Amino acid sequence: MTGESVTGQLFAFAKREVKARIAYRMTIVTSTVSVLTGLLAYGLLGRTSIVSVTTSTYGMTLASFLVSGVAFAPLITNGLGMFGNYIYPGQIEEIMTMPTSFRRYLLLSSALPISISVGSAALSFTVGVFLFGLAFSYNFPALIAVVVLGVVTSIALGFLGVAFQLVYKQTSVLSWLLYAFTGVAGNMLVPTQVLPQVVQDISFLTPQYYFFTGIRIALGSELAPLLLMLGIFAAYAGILIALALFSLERALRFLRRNGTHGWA
Amino acid sequence: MERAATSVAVWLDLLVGEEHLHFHPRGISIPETYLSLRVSDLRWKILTHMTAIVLKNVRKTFRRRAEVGFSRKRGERREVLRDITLEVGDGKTFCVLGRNGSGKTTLVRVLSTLIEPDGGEGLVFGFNLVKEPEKVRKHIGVMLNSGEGGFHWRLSALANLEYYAALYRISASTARIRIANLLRELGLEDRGVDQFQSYSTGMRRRVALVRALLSDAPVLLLDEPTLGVDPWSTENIHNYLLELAKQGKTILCATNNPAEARALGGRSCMLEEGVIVASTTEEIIAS
Repeated sequence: MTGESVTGQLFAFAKREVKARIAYRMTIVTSTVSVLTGLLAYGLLGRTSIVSVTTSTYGMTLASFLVSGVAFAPLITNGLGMFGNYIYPGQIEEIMTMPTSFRRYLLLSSALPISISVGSAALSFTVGVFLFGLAFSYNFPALIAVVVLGVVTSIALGFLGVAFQLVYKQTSVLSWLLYAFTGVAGNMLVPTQVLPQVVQDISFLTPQYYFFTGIRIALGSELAPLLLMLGIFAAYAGILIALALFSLERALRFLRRNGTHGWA
Repeated sequence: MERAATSVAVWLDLLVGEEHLHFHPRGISIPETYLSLRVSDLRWKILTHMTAIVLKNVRKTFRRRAEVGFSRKRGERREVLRDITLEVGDGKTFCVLGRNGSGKTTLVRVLSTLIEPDGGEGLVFGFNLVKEPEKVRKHIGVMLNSGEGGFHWRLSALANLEYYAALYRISASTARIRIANLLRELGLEDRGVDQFQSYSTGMRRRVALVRALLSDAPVLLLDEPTLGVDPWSTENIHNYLLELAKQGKTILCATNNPAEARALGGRSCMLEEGVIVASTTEEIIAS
Protein backbone atom coordinates (compact mmCIF):
# COMPACT_ATOMS: atom_id res chain seq x y z
CA MET A 1 0.00 0.00 0.00
CA THR A 2 1.40 3.36 -0.93
CA GLY A 3 -0.92 5.62 1.03
CA GLU A 4 -2.89 7.39 -1.69
CA SER A 5 -3.44 11.04 -0.81
CA VAL A 6 -6.78 12.79 -0.46
CA THR A 7 -6.36 14.42 -3.87
CA GLY A 8 -5.49 11.09 -5.46
CA GLN A 9 -8.61 9.49 -4.00
CA LEU A 10 -10.68 12.53 -4.90
CA PHE A 11 -9.53 12.27 -8.52
CA ALA A 12 -10.19 8.52 -8.66
CA PHE A 13 -13.69 8.87 -7.20
CA ALA A 14 -14.51 11.82 -9.49
CA LYS A 15 -13.31 9.82 -12.49
CA ARG A 16 -15.64 6.97 -11.58
CA GLU A 17 -18.52 9.42 -10.99
CA VAL A 18 -18.03 10.98 -14.43
CA LYS A 19 -17.83 7.57 -16.11
CA ALA A 20 -20.96 6.36 -14.29
CA ARG A 21 -22.86 9.52 -15.22
CA ILE A 22 -21.82 9.24 -18.85
CA ALA A 23 -23.07 5.64 -18.80
CA TYR A 24 -26.49 7.08 -17.95
CA ARG A 25 -26.28 10.28 -20.04
CA MET A 26 -30.02 10.43 -20.65
CA THR A 27 -30.43 11.18 -16.92
CA ILE A 28 -28.19 14.24 -17.31
CA VAL A 29 -30.39 15.53 -20.15
CA THR A 30 -33.68 14.93 -18.32
CA SER A 31 -32.50 16.47 -15.04
CA THR A 32 -31.13 19.56 -16.84
CA VAL A 33 -34.44 20.02 -18.67
CA SER A 34 -36.33 19.57 -15.36
CA VAL A 35 -34.28 22.33 -13.70
CA LEU A 36 -34.90 24.70 -16.61
CA THR A 37 -38.64 23.99 -16.84
CA GLY A 38 -38.98 24.45 -13.05
CA LEU A 39 -37.19 27.77 -13.30
CA LEU A 40 -39.40 28.85 -16.20
CA ALA A 41 -42.61 27.77 -14.48
CA TYR A 42 -41.89 29.64 -11.24
CA GLY A 43 -40.34 32.65 -13.00
CA LEU A 44 -43.39 33.06 -15.24
CA LEU A 45 -45.73 32.53 -12.31
CA GLY A 46 -43.88 35.23 -10.38
CA ARG A 47 -44.20 37.68 -13.27
CA THR A 48 -47.99 37.39 -13.21
CA SER A 49 -48.02 39.00 -9.77
CA ILE A 50 -47.89 42.79 -9.66
CA VAL A 51 -47.94 43.24 -5.91
CA SER A 52 -46.63 40.64 -3.50
CA VAL A 53 -45.85 40.35 0.20
CA THR A 54 -42.26 39.67 -0.85
CA THR A 55 -41.89 43.27 -2.06
CA SER A 56 -42.56 44.70 1.40
CA THR A 57 -40.80 42.01 3.48
CA TYR A 58 -37.85 40.97 1.29
CA GLY A 59 -37.50 44.00 -0.94
CA MET A 60 -37.83 41.87 -4.07
CA THR A 61 -40.56 40.94 -6.54
CA LEU A 62 -42.29 37.57 -6.34
CA ALA A 63 -40.42 36.50 -9.50
CA SER A 64 -37.07 37.35 -7.87
CA PHE A 65 -38.13 35.53 -4.69
CA LEU A 66 -39.20 32.40 -6.58
CA VAL A 67 -36.24 32.28 -8.98
CA SER A 68 -33.75 32.66 -6.13
CA GLY A 69 -35.57 29.90 -4.24
CA VAL A 70 -35.81 27.46 -7.14
CA ALA A 71 -32.25 28.04 -8.40
CA PHE A 72 -30.55 27.43 -5.06
CA ALA A 73 -32.97 24.75 -3.83
CA PRO A 74 -30.93 21.67 -4.92
CA LEU A 75 -28.10 22.74 -2.60
CA ILE A 76 -30.20 22.05 0.46
CA THR A 77 -33.13 19.90 -0.64
CA ASN A 78 -30.93 17.12 -2.02
CA GLY A 79 -29.05 16.90 1.27
CA LEU A 80 -30.84 13.95 2.79
CA GLY A 81 -30.28 11.74 -0.23
CA MET A 82 -26.85 13.15 -1.02
CA PHE A 83 -24.99 9.93 -0.25
CA GLY A 84 -27.75 7.59 -1.40
CA ASN A 85 -25.82 6.57 -4.51
CA TYR A 86 -22.86 5.42 -2.47
CA ILE A 87 -24.48 3.15 0.07
CA TYR A 88 -26.31 0.62 -2.02
CA PRO A 89 -26.50 -2.78 -0.35
CA GLY A 90 -24.12 -4.68 -2.59
CA GLN A 91 -21.32 -2.21 -2.09
CA ILE A 92 -21.46 -1.26 1.54
CA GLU A 93 -19.86 -4.46 2.84
CA GLU A 94 -16.98 -4.22 0.41
CA ILE A 95 -16.32 -0.61 1.36
CA MET A 96 -16.35 -1.40 5.06
CA THR A 97 -13.55 -3.93 4.75
CA MET A 98 -11.19 -1.36 3.21
CA PRO A 99 -8.68 0.97 4.84
CA THR A 100 -10.53 4.11 3.73
CA SER A 101 -12.90 5.21 6.48
CA PHE A 102 -16.59 5.20 5.66
CA ARG A 103 -16.95 8.92 6.33
CA ARG A 104 -14.01 9.78 4.11
CA TYR A 105 -15.43 7.53 1.41
CA LEU A 106 -18.80 9.30 1.52
CA LEU A 107 -17.31 12.78 1.52
CA LEU A 108 -14.80 12.21 -1.25
CA SER A 109 -17.32 10.32 -3.39
CA SER A 110 -19.80 13.17 -3.22
CA ALA A 111 -17.29 15.98 -3.73
CA LEU A 112 -17.93 16.10 -7.48
CA PRO A 113 -21.75 15.94 -7.22
CA ILE A 114 -21.63 18.74 -4.62
CA SER A 115 -19.48 20.87 -6.94
CA ILE A 116 -21.89 20.14 -9.81
CA SER A 117 -24.83 21.20 -7.59
CA VAL A 118 -23.15 24.48 -6.69
CA GLY A 119 -22.23 25.11 -10.33
CA SER A 120 -25.71 24.31 -11.63
CA ALA A 121 -27.31 26.49 -8.92
CA ALA A 122 -25.15 29.42 -9.99
CA LEU A 123 -25.88 28.72 -13.65
CA SER A 124 -29.64 28.37 -13.29
CA PHE A 125 -29.76 31.51 -11.12
CA THR A 126 -27.85 33.43 -13.82
CA VAL A 127 -30.16 32.06 -16.51
CA GLY A 128 -33.19 33.10 -14.43
CA VAL A 129 -31.80 36.61 -13.89
CA PHE A 130 -31.22 37.16 -17.62
CA LEU A 131 -34.40 35.42 -18.74
CA PHE A 132 -36.69 37.45 -16.52
CA GLY A 133 -34.57 40.59 -16.28
CA LEU A 134 -34.36 40.39 -12.48
CA ALA A 135 -32.46 42.95 -10.43
CA PHE A 136 -30.68 42.12 -7.18
CA SER A 137 -28.13 44.02 -5.10
CA TYR A 138 -25.51 41.35 -4.66
CA ASN A 139 -23.40 40.81 -1.55
CA PHE A 140 -21.06 38.15 -2.93
CA PRO A 141 -19.11 37.37 0.26
CA ALA A 142 -22.41 36.82 2.09
CA LEU A 143 -23.75 34.73 -0.80
CA ILE A 144 -20.65 32.52 -0.73
CA ALA A 145 -20.90 32.19 3.06
CA VAL A 146 -24.57 31.13 2.84
CA VAL A 147 -23.83 28.65 0.05
CA VAL A 148 -20.93 27.15 2.06
CA LEU A 149 -23.14 26.85 5.14
CA GLY A 150 -25.85 25.36 2.96
CA VAL A 151 -23.42 22.72 1.68
CA VAL A 152 -22.27 21.94 5.23
CA THR A 153 -25.89 21.60 6.32
CA SER A 154 -26.56 19.39 3.32
CA ILE A 155 -23.62 17.14 4.23
CA ALA A 156 -24.97 16.91 7.78
CA LEU A 157 -28.41 15.97 6.44
CA GLY A 158 -26.71 13.46 4.16
CA PHE A 159 -24.93 11.80 7.09
CA LEU A 160 -28.21 11.72 9.01
CA GLY A 161 -29.92 10.17 5.99
CA VAL A 162 -27.20 7.50 5.71
CA ALA A 163 -27.40 6.75 9.44
CA PHE A 164 -31.17 6.38 9.19
CA GLN A 165 -30.89 4.22 6.07
CA LEU A 166 -28.30 1.92 7.64
CA VAL A 167 -30.42 1.30 10.70
CA TYR A 168 -33.98 1.41 9.36
CA LYS A 169 -33.21 0.47 5.72
CA GLN A 170 -35.29 3.34 4.38
CA THR A 171 -35.31 7.12 4.54
CA SER A 172 -38.89 7.79 3.51
CA VAL A 173 -40.02 8.67 7.05
CA LEU A 174 -37.15 11.11 7.50
CA SER A 175 -37.75 12.58 4.03
CA TRP A 176 -41.39 13.06 4.84
CA LEU A 177 -40.58 14.73 8.15
CA LEU A 178 -38.05 17.04 6.55
CA TYR A 179 -39.64 17.87 3.23
CA ALA A 180 -43.41 17.42 3.42
CA PHE A 181 -43.64 20.11 6.03
CA THR A 182 -40.72 22.27 5.01
CA GLY A 183 -41.99 22.43 1.43
CA VAL A 184 -44.44 24.90 2.89
CA ALA A 185 -42.52 26.26 5.86
CA GLY A 186 -38.94 26.26 4.51
CA ASN A 187 -39.19 29.75 2.95
CA MET A 188 -38.22 28.37 -0.45
CA LEU A 189 -41.35 29.20 -2.43
CA VAL A 190 -43.81 30.41 0.19
CA PRO A 191 -42.75 33.46 2.25
CA THR A 192 -43.10 32.41 5.87
CA GLN A 193 -44.71 35.75 6.67
CA VAL A 194 -47.98 34.63 5.05
CA LEU A 195 -48.15 31.51 7.23
CA PRO A 196 -49.94 31.21 10.60
CA GLN A 197 -47.77 32.24 13.54
CA VAL A 198 -47.41 28.69 14.86
CA VAL A 199 -46.08 27.50 11.48
CA GLN A 200 -43.72 30.48 11.36
CA ASP A 201 -42.36 29.47 14.76
CA ILE A 202 -41.82 25.90 13.60
CA SER A 203 -40.09 27.09 10.43
CA PHE A 204 -37.30 28.52 12.62
CA LEU A 205 -36.38 24.91 13.37
CA THR A 206 -35.79 23.95 9.75
CA PRO A 207 -32.43 24.31 8.01
CA GLN A 208 -34.16 25.46 4.83
CA TYR A 209 -35.47 28.55 6.57
CA TYR A 210 -31.97 29.77 7.42
CA PHE A 211 -30.59 28.84 4.01
CA PHE A 212 -33.25 30.54 1.90
CA THR A 213 -33.53 33.56 4.17
CA GLY A 214 -29.74 33.89 4.09
CA ILE A 215 -29.79 33.71 0.27
CA ARG A 216 -32.39 36.48 0.10
CA ILE A 217 -30.44 38.70 2.50
CA ALA A 218 -27.27 38.13 0.45
CA LEU A 219 -29.26 39.17 -2.63
CA GLY A 220 -30.29 42.50 -1.16
CA SER A 221 -33.11 41.88 1.27
CA GLU A 222 -32.93 43.77 4.56
CA LEU A 223 -35.16 41.35 6.42
CA ALA A 224 -32.66 40.77 9.24
CA PRO A 225 -29.10 41.88 10.08
CA LEU A 226 -26.73 39.89 7.85
CA LEU A 227 -24.20 38.92 10.53
CA LEU A 228 -26.88 37.80 12.95
CA MET A 229 -28.47 35.57 10.31
CA LEU A 230 -25.09 34.13 9.30
CA GLY A 231 -24.20 33.52 12.96
CA ILE A 232 -27.44 31.67 13.64
CA PHE A 233 -27.06 29.62 10.43
CA ALA A 234 -23.44 28.75 11.29
CA ALA A 235 -24.45 27.64 14.79
CA TYR A 236 -27.32 25.60 13.33
CA ALA A 237 -25.00 23.94 10.79
CA GLY A 238 -22.41 23.23 13.49
CA ILE A 239 -24.92 21.56 15.79
CA LEU A 240 -26.41 19.59 12.91
CA ILE A 241 -23.03 18.30 11.70
CA ALA A 242 -22.07 17.23 15.24
CA LEU A 243 -25.38 15.41 15.59
CA ALA A 244 -24.97 13.85 12.15
CA LEU A 245 -21.44 12.57 12.85
CA PHE A 246 -22.59 11.09 16.14
CA SER A 247 -25.58 9.43 14.45
CA LEU A 248 -23.43 7.98 11.66
CA GLU A 249 -20.97 6.55 14.17
CA ARG A 250 -23.82 4.97 16.14
CA ALA A 251 -25.36 3.57 12.95
CA LEU A 252 -22.07 1.97 11.89
CA ARG A 253 -21.72 0.47 15.35
CA PHE A 254 -25.28 -0.85 15.04
CA LEU A 255 -24.38 -2.54 11.75
CA ARG A 256 -21.23 -4.10 13.17
CA ARG A 257 -23.22 -5.51 16.08
CA ASN A 258 -26.24 -6.73 14.12
CA GLY A 259 -24.64 -7.65 10.83
CA THR A 260 -27.55 -6.15 8.90
CA HIS A 261 -25.51 -4.52 6.17
CA GLY A 262 -27.79 -5.52 3.35
CA TRP A 263 -31.31 -4.72 2.33
CA ALA A 264 -33.33 -5.05 -0.84
CA MET B 1 20.54 -2.91 28.43
CA GLU B 2 20.12 -0.30 25.73
CA ARG B 3 21.53 -2.67 23.10
CA ALA B 4 19.13 -5.39 24.21
CA ALA B 5 16.24 -2.97 24.00
CA THR B 6 17.30 -1.93 20.51
CA SER B 7 17.51 -5.59 19.44
CA VAL B 8 14.02 -6.18 20.69
CA ALA B 9 12.86 -3.08 18.83
CA VAL B 10 14.46 -4.26 15.60
CA TRP B 11 12.91 -7.69 16.02
CA LEU B 12 9.54 -6.13 16.64
CA ASP B 13 10.08 -3.95 13.62
CA LEU B 14 10.55 -7.06 11.48
CA LEU B 15 7.39 -8.54 12.91
CA VAL B 16 5.01 -5.63 12.93
CA GLY B 17 6.28 -3.21 10.35
CA GLU B 18 8.11 0.07 10.54
CA GLU B 19 5.10 2.19 11.49
CA HIS B 20 5.58 1.10 15.11
CA LEU B 21 9.12 2.36 15.41
CA HIS B 22 10.34 5.82 16.09
CA PHE B 23 13.29 6.89 14.00
CA HIS B 24 15.74 9.30 15.56
CA PRO B 25 18.83 10.91 14.02
CA ARG B 26 21.05 8.76 16.25
CA GLY B 27 19.34 5.52 15.27
CA ILE B 28 16.35 3.47 16.25
CA SER B 29 14.80 3.74 19.67
CA ILE B 30 12.34 1.34 21.21
CA PRO B 31 8.72 2.47 20.97
CA GLU B 32 7.21 3.72 24.19
CA THR B 33 4.26 1.35 23.88
CA TYR B 34 6.60 -1.64 24.11
CA LEU B 35 8.64 -0.21 26.99
CA SER B 36 5.52 -0.03 29.11
CA LEU B 37 4.59 -3.70 28.49
CA ARG B 38 5.10 -6.43 31.07
CA VAL B 39 7.21 -9.43 29.99
CA SER B 40 4.16 -11.70 29.67
CA ASP B 41 2.34 -9.09 27.61
CA LEU B 42 5.39 -8.58 25.43
CA ARG B 43 5.57 -12.34 24.82
CA TRP B 44 1.85 -12.36 23.93
CA LYS B 45 2.40 -9.41 21.60
CA ILE B 46 5.27 -11.14 19.82
CA LEU B 47 3.39 -14.46 19.57
CA THR B 48 0.29 -12.82 18.15
CA HIS B 49 2.36 -10.98 15.59
CA MET B 50 3.91 -14.26 14.47
CA THR B 51 0.44 -15.76 14.17
CA ALA B 52 -1.47 -14.06 11.39
CA ILE B 53 -4.94 -14.89 12.72
CA VAL B 54 -5.86 -15.64 16.31
CA LEU B 55 -9.40 -16.23 17.52
CA LYS B 56 -9.97 -17.02 21.18
CA ASN B 57 -13.43 -18.09 22.36
CA VAL B 58 -15.17 -15.91 19.79
CA ARG B 59 -18.94 -15.87 20.09
CA LYS B 60 -21.59 -14.23 17.97
CA THR B 61 -25.35 -14.23 18.25
CA PHE B 62 -27.91 -12.50 16.08
CA ARG B 63 -31.39 -11.42 17.01
CA ARG B 64 -33.89 -13.61 15.22
CA ARG B 65 -36.01 -11.61 12.82
CA ALA B 66 -39.51 -12.78 12.08
CA GLU B 67 -41.54 -11.57 9.14
CA VAL B 68 -44.15 -8.98 10.02
CA GLY B 69 -47.26 -10.80 11.23
CA PHE B 70 -45.31 -13.73 12.70
CA SER B 71 -44.59 -13.44 16.36
CA ARG B 72 -41.33 -14.39 17.98
CA LYS B 73 -40.29 -14.07 21.58
CA ARG B 74 -38.85 -10.65 22.21
CA GLY B 75 -35.08 -10.71 22.38
CA GLU B 76 -34.80 -14.28 21.10
CA ARG B 77 -31.31 -14.78 19.65
CA ARG B 78 -29.60 -17.33 17.43
CA GLU B 79 -26.07 -18.43 18.21
CA VAL B 80 -24.01 -18.34 15.02
CA LEU B 81 -20.50 -18.77 16.42
CA ARG B 82 -19.85 -20.55 19.72
CA ASP B 83 -16.48 -20.28 21.40
CA ILE B 84 -14.46 -20.41 18.21
CA THR B 85 -10.75 -20.76 18.93
CA LEU B 86 -8.26 -21.08 16.12
CA GLU B 87 -4.84 -19.90 15.03
CA VAL B 88 -3.47 -19.52 11.54
CA GLY B 89 0.28 -19.07 11.28
CA ASP B 90 1.82 -16.38 9.11
CA GLY B 91 2.08 -17.67 5.53
CA LYS B 92 -0.22 -20.66 6.10
CA THR B 93 -3.41 -21.74 4.36
CA PHE B 94 -6.46 -22.59 6.42
CA CYS B 95 -9.84 -23.77 5.16
CA VAL B 96 -13.07 -23.51 7.11
CA LEU B 97 -15.43 -26.20 5.89
CA GLY B 98 -19.09 -26.44 6.66
CA ARG B 99 -22.60 -26.75 5.34
CA ASN B 100 -24.73 -23.76 4.42
CA GLY B 101 -25.63 -21.84 7.57
CA SER B 102 -22.88 -23.37 9.67
CA GLY B 103 -21.31 -19.98 10.44
CA LYS B 104 -18.51 -19.80 7.86
CA THR B 105 -19.57 -16.49 6.38
CA THR B 106 -20.07 -14.97 9.83
CA LEU B 107 -16.55 -16.06 10.73
CA VAL B 108 -15.14 -14.34 7.62
CA ARG B 109 -17.23 -11.25 8.36
CA VAL B 110 -15.91 -11.13 11.92
CA LEU B 111 -12.32 -11.42 10.68
CA SER B 112 -12.87 -8.73 8.07
CA THR B 113 -14.17 -6.36 10.81
CA LEU B 114 -17.63 -6.17 9.27
CA ILE B 115 -19.24 -7.45 12.42
CA GLU B 116 -18.14 -7.42 16.03
CA PRO B 117 -18.08 -10.60 18.07
CA ASP B 118 -20.19 -10.60 21.24
CA GLY B 119 -17.37 -12.16 23.22
CA GLY B 120 -13.87 -13.53 22.99
CA GLU B 121 -10.93 -11.95 21.26
CA GLY B 122 -9.80 -11.83 17.67
CA LEU B 123 -6.46 -10.61 16.32
CA VAL B 124 -4.99 -10.20 12.86
CA PHE B 125 -1.26 -9.68 13.02
CA GLY B 126 -1.70 -8.70 16.62
CA PHE B 127 -4.29 -6.04 15.89
CA ASN B 128 -7.56 -6.39 17.72
CA LEU B 129 -10.60 -6.84 15.48
CA VAL B 130 -12.81 -4.66 17.67
CA LYS B 131 -10.40 -2.09 19.07
CA GLU B 132 -8.16 -1.60 16.03
CA PRO B 133 -10.31 -2.33 12.96
CA GLU B 134 -8.54 0.28 10.80
CA LYS B 135 -5.18 -1.42 11.37
CA VAL B 136 -6.68 -4.83 10.67
CA ARG B 137 -8.12 -3.58 7.36
CA LYS B 138 -4.65 -2.53 6.23
CA HIS B 139 -3.54 -6.15 6.51
CA ILE B 140 -6.42 -7.96 4.84
CA GLY B 141 -7.78 -8.53 1.36
CA VAL B 142 -11.36 -9.74 1.43
CA MET B 143 -13.54 -11.59 -1.02
CA LEU B 144 -17.02 -11.85 0.40
CA ASN B 145 -19.68 -14.37 -0.46
CA SER B 146 -21.54 -11.73 -2.47
CA GLY B 147 -18.51 -11.47 -4.75
CA GLU B 148 -20.25 -9.41 -7.42
CA GLY B 149 -21.22 -6.77 -4.88
CA GLY B 150 -20.05 -3.25 -5.33
CA PHE B 151 -19.14 -3.40 -9.00
CA HIS B 152 -20.73 -0.86 -11.31
CA TRP B 153 -22.32 -3.00 -14.00
CA ARG B 154 -21.94 -0.46 -16.79
CA LEU B 155 -18.28 0.17 -16.13
CA SER B 156 -15.40 -2.08 -17.12
CA ALA B 157 -13.43 -4.31 -14.79
CA LEU B 158 -10.52 -1.88 -15.22
CA ALA B 159 -12.55 1.16 -14.16
CA ASN B 160 -14.13 -0.73 -11.26
CA LEU B 161 -10.78 -2.01 -10.03
CA GLU B 162 -9.10 1.39 -10.32
CA TYR B 163 -11.83 2.74 -8.07
CA TYR B 164 -11.27 0.03 -5.47
CA ALA B 165 -7.52 0.56 -5.70
CA ALA B 166 -8.16 4.18 -4.65
CA LEU B 167 -10.23 2.89 -1.75
CA TYR B 168 -7.30 0.69 -0.79
CA ARG B 169 -5.27 3.92 -0.99
CA ILE B 170 -3.03 2.64 -3.75
CA SER B 171 -1.63 5.30 -6.07
CA ALA B 172 -3.06 5.38 -9.60
CA SER B 173 0.23 4.43 -11.29
CA THR B 174 0.84 1.44 -9.00
CA ALA B 175 -2.80 0.40 -9.36
CA ARG B 176 -2.66 0.31 -13.14
CA ILE B 177 0.36 -2.02 -13.16
CA ARG B 178 -1.04 -4.23 -10.43
CA ILE B 179 -4.48 -4.52 -12.06
CA ALA B 180 -2.98 -5.41 -15.44
CA ASN B 181 -0.80 -8.11 -13.84
CA LEU B 182 -3.61 -9.60 -11.79
CA LEU B 183 -6.06 -9.64 -14.70
CA ARG B 184 -3.45 -11.40 -16.79
CA GLU B 185 -2.68 -13.95 -14.10
CA LEU B 186 -6.36 -14.77 -13.66
CA GLY B 187 -6.99 -15.03 -17.39
CA LEU B 188 -8.98 -11.83 -17.83
CA GLU B 189 -6.54 -9.65 -19.72
CA ASP B 190 -8.67 -9.63 -22.90
CA ARG B 191 -11.87 -8.66 -21.11
CA GLY B 192 -10.64 -5.88 -18.84
CA VAL B 193 -12.26 -3.09 -20.84
CA ASP B 194 -15.65 -4.79 -21.27
CA GLN B 195 -18.60 -3.74 -19.16
CA PHE B 196 -18.92 -5.75 -15.95
CA GLN B 197 -22.48 -6.74 -16.88
CA SER B 198 -21.18 -8.69 -19.87
CA TYR B 199 -19.12 -11.07 -17.72
CA SER B 200 -20.16 -14.59 -16.79
CA THR B 201 -20.61 -15.54 -13.12
CA GLY B 202 -17.19 -17.14 -13.03
CA MET B 203 -15.54 -14.09 -14.54
CA ARG B 204 -17.23 -11.84 -11.99
CA ARG B 205 -15.89 -14.02 -9.20
CA ARG B 206 -12.42 -13.70 -10.67
CA VAL B 207 -12.73 -9.92 -10.85
CA ALA B 208 -13.83 -9.98 -7.20
CA LEU B 209 -10.73 -12.04 -6.41
CA VAL B 210 -8.58 -9.47 -8.21
CA ARG B 211 -10.18 -6.80 -5.99
CA ALA B 212 -9.22 -8.80 -2.88
CA LEU B 213 -5.65 -9.10 -4.15
CA LEU B 214 -5.26 -5.43 -5.13
CA SER B 215 -3.80 -4.23 -1.87
CA ASP B 216 -1.21 -7.05 -1.78
CA ALA B 217 -2.31 -7.59 1.82
CA PRO B 218 -0.53 -10.33 3.77
CA VAL B 219 -3.83 -11.96 4.80
CA LEU B 220 -6.51 -13.09 2.36
CA LEU B 221 -10.00 -13.83 3.64
CA LEU B 222 -11.98 -15.66 0.99
CA ASP B 223 -15.60 -16.71 1.30
CA GLU B 224 -16.51 -19.32 -1.31
CA PRO B 225 -13.97 -17.98 -3.83
CA THR B 226 -14.93 -20.41 -6.59
CA LEU B 227 -18.71 -20.38 -6.18
CA GLY B 228 -20.21 -20.64 -9.68
CA VAL B 229 -16.83 -20.92 -11.35
CA ASP B 230 -16.28 -23.69 -13.92
CA PRO B 231 -13.90 -26.56 -12.98
CA TRP B 232 -11.12 -25.36 -15.30
CA SER B 233 -11.15 -21.82 -13.95
CA THR B 234 -11.49 -23.24 -10.42
CA GLU B 235 -8.27 -25.15 -10.92
CA ASN B 236 -6.66 -22.02 -12.28
CA ILE B 237 -7.74 -20.04 -9.19
CA HIS B 238 -6.55 -22.78 -6.83
CA ASN B 239 -3.16 -22.88 -8.51
CA TYR B 240 -2.89 -19.13 -8.23
CA LEU B 241 -3.82 -19.20 -4.54
CA LEU B 242 -1.24 -21.93 -3.93
CA GLU B 243 1.35 -19.73 -5.63
CA LEU B 244 0.37 -16.86 -3.33
CA ALA B 245 0.67 -19.14 -0.31
CA LYS B 246 4.18 -20.07 -1.44
CA GLN B 247 5.00 -16.37 -1.59
CA GLY B 248 4.03 -16.10 2.07
CA LYS B 249 0.41 -14.96 2.02
CA THR B 250 -1.82 -16.20 4.78
CA ILE B 251 -5.05 -17.52 3.28
CA LEU B 252 -8.24 -18.28 5.16
CA CYS B 253 -10.83 -19.78 2.85
CA ALA B 254 -14.41 -20.59 3.84
CA THR B 255 -15.95 -23.24 1.63
CA ASN B 256 -18.61 -25.92 1.59
CA ASN B 257 -16.61 -27.94 -0.90
CA PRO B 258 -14.19 -30.49 0.64
CA ALA B 259 -12.43 -30.78 -2.73
CA GLU B 260 -11.54 -27.10 -2.49
CA ALA B 261 -10.01 -27.61 0.95
CA ARG B 262 -8.04 -30.57 -0.37
CA ALA B 263 -6.84 -28.59 -3.39
CA LEU B 264 -5.63 -25.72 -1.25
CA GLY B 265 -3.90 -27.99 1.24
CA GLY B 266 -2.89 -26.61 4.60
CA ARG B 267 -4.95 -27.03 7.76
CA SER B 268 -8.72 -27.15 7.86
CA CYS B 269 -11.51 -27.21 10.36
CA MET B 270 -15.13 -28.19 10.14
CA LEU B 271 -17.85 -25.89 11.43
CA GLU B 272 -21.28 -27.13 12.39
CA GLU B 273 -23.90 -24.83 13.85
CA GLY B 274 -21.21 -22.40 14.88
CA VAL B 275 -18.99 -24.94 16.59
CA ILE B 276 -15.67 -26.35 15.39
CA VAL B 277 -16.45 -30.07 15.35
CA ALA B 278 -13.30 -31.28 13.63
CA SER B 279 -9.87 -29.83 13.15
CA THR B 280 -7.78 -32.65 11.73
CA THR B 281 -8.08 -34.36 8.35
CA GLU B 282 -9.18 -37.63 9.99
CA GLU B 283 -11.82 -35.91 12.07
CA ILE B 284 -13.11 -33.98 9.07
CA ILE B 285 -13.41 -37.14 6.96
CA ALA B 286 -15.14 -38.87 9.86
CA SER B 287 -17.57 -35.98 10.32
